[in-house]
Amino acid sequence: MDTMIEAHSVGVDQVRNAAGRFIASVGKVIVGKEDTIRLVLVALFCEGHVLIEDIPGIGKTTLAKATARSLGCSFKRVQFTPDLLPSDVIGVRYFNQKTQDFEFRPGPIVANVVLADEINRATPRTQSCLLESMQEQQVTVDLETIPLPRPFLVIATQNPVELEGTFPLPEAQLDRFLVRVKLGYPSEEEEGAILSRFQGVDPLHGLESVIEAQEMLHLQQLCRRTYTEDSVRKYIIAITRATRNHKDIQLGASPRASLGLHMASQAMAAISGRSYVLPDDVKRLTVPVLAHRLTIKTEARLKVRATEDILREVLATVPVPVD
Amino acid sequence: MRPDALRALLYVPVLLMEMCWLFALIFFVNHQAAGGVLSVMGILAFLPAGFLIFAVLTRLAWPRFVRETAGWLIWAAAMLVAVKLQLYGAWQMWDPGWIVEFLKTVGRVFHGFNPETLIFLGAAVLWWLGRRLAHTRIDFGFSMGEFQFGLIALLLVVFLSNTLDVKMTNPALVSAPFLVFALTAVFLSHAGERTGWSRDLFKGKWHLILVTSIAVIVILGLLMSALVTPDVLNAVVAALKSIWLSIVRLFTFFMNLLPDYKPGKMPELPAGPTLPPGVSESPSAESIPAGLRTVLLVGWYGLVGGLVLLAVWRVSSAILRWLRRRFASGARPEAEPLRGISMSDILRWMRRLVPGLHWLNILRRPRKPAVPREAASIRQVYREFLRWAAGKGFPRHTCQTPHEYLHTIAEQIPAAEDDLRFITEAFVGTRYGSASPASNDLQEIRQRWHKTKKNRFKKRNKRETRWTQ
Repeated sequence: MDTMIEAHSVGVDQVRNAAGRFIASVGKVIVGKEDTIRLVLVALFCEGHVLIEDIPGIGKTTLAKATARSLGCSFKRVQFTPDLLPSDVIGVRYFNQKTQDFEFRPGPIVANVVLADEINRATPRTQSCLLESMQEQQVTVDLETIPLPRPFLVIATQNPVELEGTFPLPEAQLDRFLVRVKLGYPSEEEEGAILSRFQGVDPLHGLESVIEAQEMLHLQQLCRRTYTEDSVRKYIIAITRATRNHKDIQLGASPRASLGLHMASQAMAAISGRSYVLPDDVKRLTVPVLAHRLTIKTEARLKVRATEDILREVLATVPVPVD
Repeated sequence: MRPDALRALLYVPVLLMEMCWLFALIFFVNHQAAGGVLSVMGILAFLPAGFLIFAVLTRLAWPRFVRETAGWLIWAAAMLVAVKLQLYGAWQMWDPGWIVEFLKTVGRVFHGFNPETLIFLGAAVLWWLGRRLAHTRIDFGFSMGEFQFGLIALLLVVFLSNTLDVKMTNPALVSAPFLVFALTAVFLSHAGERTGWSRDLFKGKWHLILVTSIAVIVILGLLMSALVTPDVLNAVVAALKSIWLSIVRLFTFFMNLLPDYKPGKMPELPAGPTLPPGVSESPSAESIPAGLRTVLLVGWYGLVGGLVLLAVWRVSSAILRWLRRRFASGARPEAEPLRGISMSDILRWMRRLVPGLHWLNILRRPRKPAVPREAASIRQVYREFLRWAAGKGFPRHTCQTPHEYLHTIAEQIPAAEDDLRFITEAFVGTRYGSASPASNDLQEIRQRWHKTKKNRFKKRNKRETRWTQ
C-alpha cells in the first residue's frame, strides 16, 4: 500500500502542476474566482460536466471559452433557444445526392468542450438529447452510435432570474452535472482589475493551451488512483444517505451523487498535491456536487430555506471519521 | 424546539430516571442497614436538590472554589436538617447536643452501620450525583450510559431483595417509570442531535441493539433470580471455603517441608540508658484525650477508606474508559451515531455461548487491518491532544475535521500553532493516507506535543459562540 501511494505521489505532482497552469491561464480572464475555476477543473479531471448558474453578465460564457482555450481542445457553442431541435445539437443524417448515400453531419455536441448556453431556454425534448451524451459520451442517431471525442466536457449555463419562457431542467438531467457553480459578483478590487484587463486587447484571445487533450486523459487516470481510506468512503456515503432522511428534503442524493462526490474528492486531493483524500475535500465539495441534485419540500421552500443551508446542516450532523 | 431549550429539558427525564433506581436502592439499604426507620423520599430529595443548587451556582460568576464550598456547605446544612427531622425530632432545634450525638454516631461507623451513617453517606452521595448531573452536558451517549447502568442497578436491587426477602414495593411501580423516563431521555437526546431517529425505525441498527441489550439484561436477571437461590448461594460459599481450606493446607504442607527455624544465639546487647524518674517507658495511649483519640481514629479510618475507594475508583474508571474506547472503535461514521454495545460484540458473545451457531459468521463484519506501530503512536498522540484540549474546555465537535479543529484551537493557543499544525499534518497523513512515518518524525511529534502542553490557553470570553459550520 505504501509503495502504491509513493508511486502515485509522482503522478499527483503532475496533476498539481497541470492544475496550477490551468488556473493561472483561466485566471488571466476570470478575475478572482479561483475556487470556481478549481471546481471546473475538478469536473474536467472527473470527466464530469459543469452547470454554471448565475445572473447575466457575470462571465459564464467567458469562463467556458477560457476553459476550452486553455485545454487546447475543440470548442463548440450551442445557444439554446425554445425553437432549438435535438438534431440541431446532436447532428442529422442527410441524403448526399453526390454520393447517393446517407451521411451523418455531426452537430455541435461533437467537440471536446461544449458550451450549452442558457440551457433552460430549450424545450425539455431538446434538453433530453444531452442525456446520453453526458452520461455515456456517445450519441445515437438513426440507431447508429457515434462516440464523442475525449475528453468531453459540457458546460451549461442558466440564468436563475428570468423564469418566463424557460423550462427548468428535470432532475434526471441535473443529476448528470457533476458540479453546479456560481460565479457571483466580483469585489470592488476585482471589478477594477476586470476593467483594466479588458481595456485593451481581450485577454481571451491571448490564451494558449496549457493542457493538451492526451495529457488531460492521462491526468484523469491519475486522479482516479488517488487513495481513499475506507472511513472517508463511508463518510461520503453517510452524507448522501443523510440527505435521503432529512426532514426538509423530498428527493435526496442518488448513488450517482455518491460516486460523483467520491471522484470529485479524489480530483480535489490530487489538485491540492495530495495522494489521499481528506474529509476536508469531501466537505468542500459537498455543496457544489449535491446541491443541484436535491429536491426540497414545499414547506421548506416556503420558509425560504436554501438547499445549500440544508446541506450545511447535514454536514453539521454527520460525524467526521477521526479515530 | 430550540437546541438549548431541548438540552435543558433533557435533564428532567434523566433526573427522574436516576431517582427511580436510586429509590429502589435506598429502600433496600434502609431496610437492611437502618431497619426501615428512615424516610426514603427524604434522602432521595438530595439528588434533585443537589442538581438544582449546583445548576444555579454554575451560572454565577464566582470562582470555582467558592462555588464548590458554597454547594457543600448548603449540603451540610440540609443534611443536618434531615437528620434532625428524621432521627432527633425530640431534641430542641437550637440544642447542640443532637449535633454532637449525631457526629459521635457517625464516628462509630466502623463499629456498625447505623441510620445516622446512612443519612450522612446517602445524602453525600446523592448530592454529589446531583452536582455531577448539573456539570454534565447530556447527549445521546450519556443518556444511553445512564440507562444501561440504572437498569443493571435496578435488576441487582430487585434480585437481592428477592434473595434476602426484603419486602419492597411492587417492582413494576419502580421499573415502569424508570423505563418510560429512560426511553424519553434517549429519544430526546437523539432528536437533539438532529438525526433521523424515527424515520429509520426499521433500518437503524441501534434500535435492535437497544432492544437486544435490554432483553439480554432482563433475561440474565430472570435466570439469575431463578437459579441463584439462598441454598445455591450457601453451596457456592461452602465450595469457596473448602477451596480456600485446601489452599491453606497445601501451603502448610509446603511450609512443613522446610527445616525448623532454630534461632542462633543473640549477642548480648549493651545496657540501655535509664530514664529519669517519673517518666514512663512508653507513651501511653491513655494520655491522649478521649475526644482527640476518637477524632484521630475516625480520621485514620477515613484516610484508609478514602485511599481504598480512590484506588477502586481509578481502576474501575480505567476499565470503563477501555470499554468505551473498545466499543467506540467499532463504530462507523453514520448519520445516527451509536455509543454502547455494538452488534458485532453481541454476536461474538452469542457465538461463544452457543458453539453451533456458525451461521452467525455471515453477519460478522470484516476485521479492520492492523495499524502499523508508528501510525498507532501518532494516533495515540493525537488522541491525547484531543483529550487535553477537551479538558481545557475546547472539545472537538464530531463534525469537525482535524484541520478545522486546528484552526479553532490555534486561535486559543497562537504560540503553539506551528507545533499543532505539524502534529495535525502528521496525524492526517497516517490516518487518511496510511503512510508510515519515520521514527525521527515520531520523536519530533512527541517533542512538539510535550512543548504544546506547556502552553496556556487564551482567557475564555463567556460570550464566545460555539463552533459552527
